[in-house]
Amino acid sequence: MGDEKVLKAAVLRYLEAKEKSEPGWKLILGRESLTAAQLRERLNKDKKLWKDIRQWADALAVDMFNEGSKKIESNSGTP
Amino acid sequence: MKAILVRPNFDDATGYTFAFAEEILDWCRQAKIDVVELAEGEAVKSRVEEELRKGADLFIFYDHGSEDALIGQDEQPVIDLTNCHWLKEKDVYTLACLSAKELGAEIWRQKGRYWGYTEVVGFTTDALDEFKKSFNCGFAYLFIERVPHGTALDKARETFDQLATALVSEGKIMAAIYMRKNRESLVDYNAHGPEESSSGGCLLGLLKLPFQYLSARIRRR
Repeated sequence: MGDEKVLKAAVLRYLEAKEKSEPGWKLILGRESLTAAQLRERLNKDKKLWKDIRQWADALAVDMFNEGSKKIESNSGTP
Repeated sequence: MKAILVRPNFDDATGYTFAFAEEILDWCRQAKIDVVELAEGEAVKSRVEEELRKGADLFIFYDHGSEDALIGQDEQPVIDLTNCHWLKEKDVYTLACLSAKELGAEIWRQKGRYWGYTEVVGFTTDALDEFKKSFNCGFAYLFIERVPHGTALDKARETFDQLATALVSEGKIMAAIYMRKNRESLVDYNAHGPEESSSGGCLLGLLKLPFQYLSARIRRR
């Protein structure tokens, strides 16, 4: 799916930037500890991990739109 | 109120969560909760059972877990389905991965109350303060502010949401994603039963329940 490729490329680009700006950055995932470079590598191989990140990125996007809607609705009564 | 706080420290993840638990310890002391700390070498099954035998109202555990166990310093369970009767009718507060799935459900069946997670917990090192706040806030709502369980869970989920939104605005996107994921797997088995939380009303989940109960009974024998 085209959209998924775009999202994955954005995530990998983000992790590349993170690796450069904060070399000590890590994702702690249960017992695993992954640097930005290790996470990028994993995302290219581990479909389950990618599916997980994609799912929660989608959920976050929905939350942001819902939050935006609430703000619009709460402001709509004011002149 | 008497509490037991168990916090192993043997790898990267427990290094961070050991530090997160410091705040819980401080809050206990400020709130005059009589707290026994079992840290590092003392965070093992024999010491945990010894302290539980003396009696406690609240059991706090930071950090590793599996679906049916909380893992101690020796990487062996300190609590699992074979000895979770010690937590019967008690409050349990943990950030251990996955443990709410089976262990939490079993403790709830034994009239305990279980605050924990049904999935693997994730956090990132660029937002340690925010993750500490998310992991610890439920404790403050339940045992410091003394709000009811359902309200505490709602307030905690709201806290996770606010933190996730703030993290996005700070450009900490991976942190926000895991904040959102943790929020979804956070459960409080007293506000809701495990059936409502994990099966999400799914018929398959309901059908699995008698088998889960039977397997837990068999394992306890």
